[in-house]
Amino acid sequence: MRADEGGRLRALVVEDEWPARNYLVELLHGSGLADVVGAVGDIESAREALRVESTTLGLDVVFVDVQFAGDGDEAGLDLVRSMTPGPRSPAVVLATAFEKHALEAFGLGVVDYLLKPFTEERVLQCLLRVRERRASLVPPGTVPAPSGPSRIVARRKNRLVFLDSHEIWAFEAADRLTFVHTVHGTFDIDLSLSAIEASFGHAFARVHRNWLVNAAAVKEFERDGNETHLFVGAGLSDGGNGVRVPVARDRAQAVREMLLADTAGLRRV
Amino acid sequence: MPLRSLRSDEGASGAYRPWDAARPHEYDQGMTAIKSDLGIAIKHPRGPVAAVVVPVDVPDAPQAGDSVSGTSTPWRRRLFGSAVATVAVLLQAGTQFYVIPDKSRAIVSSVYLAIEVPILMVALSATHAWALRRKVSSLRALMAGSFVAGAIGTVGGIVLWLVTQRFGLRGPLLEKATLFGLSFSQLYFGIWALAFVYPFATEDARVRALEADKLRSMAELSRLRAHLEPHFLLNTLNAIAGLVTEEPREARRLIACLGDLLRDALRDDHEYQTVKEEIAWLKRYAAILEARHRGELLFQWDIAKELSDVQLPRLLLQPLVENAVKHGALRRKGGGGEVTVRAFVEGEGKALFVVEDNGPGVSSRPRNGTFGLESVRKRLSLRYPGSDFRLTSSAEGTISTVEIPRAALSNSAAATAAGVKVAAS
Repeated sequence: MRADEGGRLRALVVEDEWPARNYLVELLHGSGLADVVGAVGDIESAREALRVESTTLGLDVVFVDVQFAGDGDEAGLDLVRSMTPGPRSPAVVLATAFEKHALEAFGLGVVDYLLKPFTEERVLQCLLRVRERRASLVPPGTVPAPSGPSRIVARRKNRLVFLDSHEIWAFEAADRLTFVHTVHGTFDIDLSLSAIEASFGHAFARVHRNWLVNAAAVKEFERDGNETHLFVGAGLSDGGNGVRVPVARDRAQAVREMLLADTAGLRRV
Repeated sequence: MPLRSLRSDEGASGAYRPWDAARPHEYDQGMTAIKSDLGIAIKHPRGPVAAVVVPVDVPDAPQAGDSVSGTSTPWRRRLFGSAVATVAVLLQAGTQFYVIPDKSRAIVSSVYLAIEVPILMVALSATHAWALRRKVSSLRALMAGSFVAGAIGTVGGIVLWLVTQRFGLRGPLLEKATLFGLSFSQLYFGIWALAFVYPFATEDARVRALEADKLRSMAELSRLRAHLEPHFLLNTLNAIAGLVTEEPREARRLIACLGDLLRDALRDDHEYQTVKEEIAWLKRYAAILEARHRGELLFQWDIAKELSDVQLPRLLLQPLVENAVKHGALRRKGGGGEVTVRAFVEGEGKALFVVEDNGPGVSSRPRNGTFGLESVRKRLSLRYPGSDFRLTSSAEGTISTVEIPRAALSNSAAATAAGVKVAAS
C-alpha cells in the first residue's frame, strides 16, 4: 500500500533490542507509509534525537518501547511523559508486550500501541491511524513538503551524529555490529544492513552480504583475479580518504554495470 | 479455715510464682503460641515468621512433626506436659507443708491436689483434642478449656466440702469451697495451657515457618522458571520475528533455545538439579538475551568440571544472572557489556559460584532488583548452613558470590528426597 495522499511519515524508532528494532524499521518501511529517519537503542539517544529533529525537519511519529532492560521497566513511558506536547510534536506509538501500559499511555496522549510480536497488518493499521491524526491536526496546505533525503542517526560512544546521505560512503556489518563509514569517520549505527537498506538506505547498493555502498561515492572498481573491490570515499585509493569494499562474486557484474550505467569514457564490454 | 487460708496463700500465686515470674517471656510465648496453635497467626518471639497460616490440621497428625524435624512426637509432648504438671503439684504441695503449720490441713490439700490435678489434665487434654479435631477458633477452644476446668473445679470444691464435712475436718463453707475449686481449676488451666500447648505450639510454629518458607520458595521457583515470564517470552518471540527474514538460522537457533526453556518450565517440580543442568539452562537463557541485545551483551563461562554433578537448588543462580544483565552489563555506557559466570572449588572445600558484570555498579539499585537477590539469600540460608551470599559493587562492575561448603553440597541428593517429601505432603 502506498501513501498516495500526503507524504510519508517521518518516524523515529526507540527500541533497545536489536532484532526488535530492525524488525520494526523493516515493517515501517515495508508499509510504504513511513520513512524511518532514525532508530536508537537507549533513552538518552532518543532524547537527543528528538531534540535535534525538532529543530530541523521534525518528526511525525515516534515508536517507543515501554521496557528498557538497561534503563528500567518503564523507561519508555518516562520518555513519553517528558515529551512536551504541542501541535508540531510527533505522535507517539508505544511498543509493549501487554496492553496494561496502554491505558496509562492513552492518558499521556499516545496515539496507538503495538503489541509484541509485531505484525505487518497491525503496523499498517497503526500508521494509517497516525496519518489520519496528523492530517486532522495540521491544516491542509501546511503539510510539510514530502521529506527530502532524510538524515541518518549514528553514534560514537555516547555521542549522536546526524549525517546527510551524501556524506555517507558505506555501511558495513561486521562482528554482529553495523558501522557507517563517512567523510567524518566511522560510527556505530544501531540497525542491521537490511533494515538500513529497507529504510533510509534505499539509494544505496548492496554489493556484498556485509556492505551497503553509496554509489555516488564510489571512486574505484578493481578486479583482481576472482576478487573484486570498490574504493569508496574522497580521493583515490592511493593516498585518498576512504574505505576498500569487497564485492560479492555473484554481484560483481551487476555492480560494474550499475556503476557504468551513467558514465562515459569506458568502452562497454 | 484451712482451705481459705490456703487459697489466700495461693491467691498471691505463691506456688507457681517461680514459674511465672522467673520465666515471664515463656509465658508470653506460650500465650501467643496457643493462638497460633489454633490457627490464627503465628507471632514468634523472634519476629513474625509466617504471614499466612493455613488453617490448622490436627497437629497430632504425624506429618506435622515428622516431615521436617522428626524430633518430637505427640507422645513426648504429653510426657513433657505431665512432668511439668507433676512438678507443679509437688511444688505446691511442698510449699503447703512448709507454709501451713497444721499438718492435717496440708495433707488434705495435698491429697486434693493429687486427685484433682490429673483429672483436670485429662479433661483438658480431651478438650484440646476435641478443639483441634473440630478446628474451632482459638478463642472458643480457650473458652471451652476454661469452662471444662471450671466445671471440674466446682465439682471438686463441692466434693472437698463434702469430704471435710463427712470426716468432721475443719473445712471451708460450701460457697468458699466452690469458689476455691473454681479459681484453682482456672489456675491449673493456665498451667496446663503452658505445659501442653507451649512445647507443641513452638514446635509447630517452627515447622510451619519452615513449611511456609518451603512454599514460598516453591512459588519463587515457579516464578523463576516462568522466567519464561510473559515479558521475556513475548519479547523473545518478537526478536525471533525480527530475525526471520534477515537471519533465519539465528531465528531457528533462538526458537530451539526457547523451546528448551519451555520444556524445562513444564518439567516436574524437582527442587534440585545438577550444576551441569543449571548451567545448560542459564546458557540458553543467556543466548536469547545476547541475541536480543546484540553488541551490548556477551557472556563468558568458566565452570569447573568437578562441580558439574553437584546438586544445586534449581535456578539458584538465575536471579544473579538477570541482575548482572539488567542492572550491570546493559547499563554500561557505549555497549560492550559482559557477564561472566564462574563455578569453582576454593581451598577449604568451598564451592563458589560467581556472577560478574562490567556495568557501572549498583549504587542506586532499584527496588525490584533486590527481590530476586533476597530469594537467593533465603534459599541458601534455608538449605546450606555455613553458606554465604555477598554482593560487591564498584564503578568497574558488580560481583555476586554464592559460597557453599563442599560438604553441604554432596549431601544435597538426600536433601532432594526430603524436599520432594515435604512438597508432596
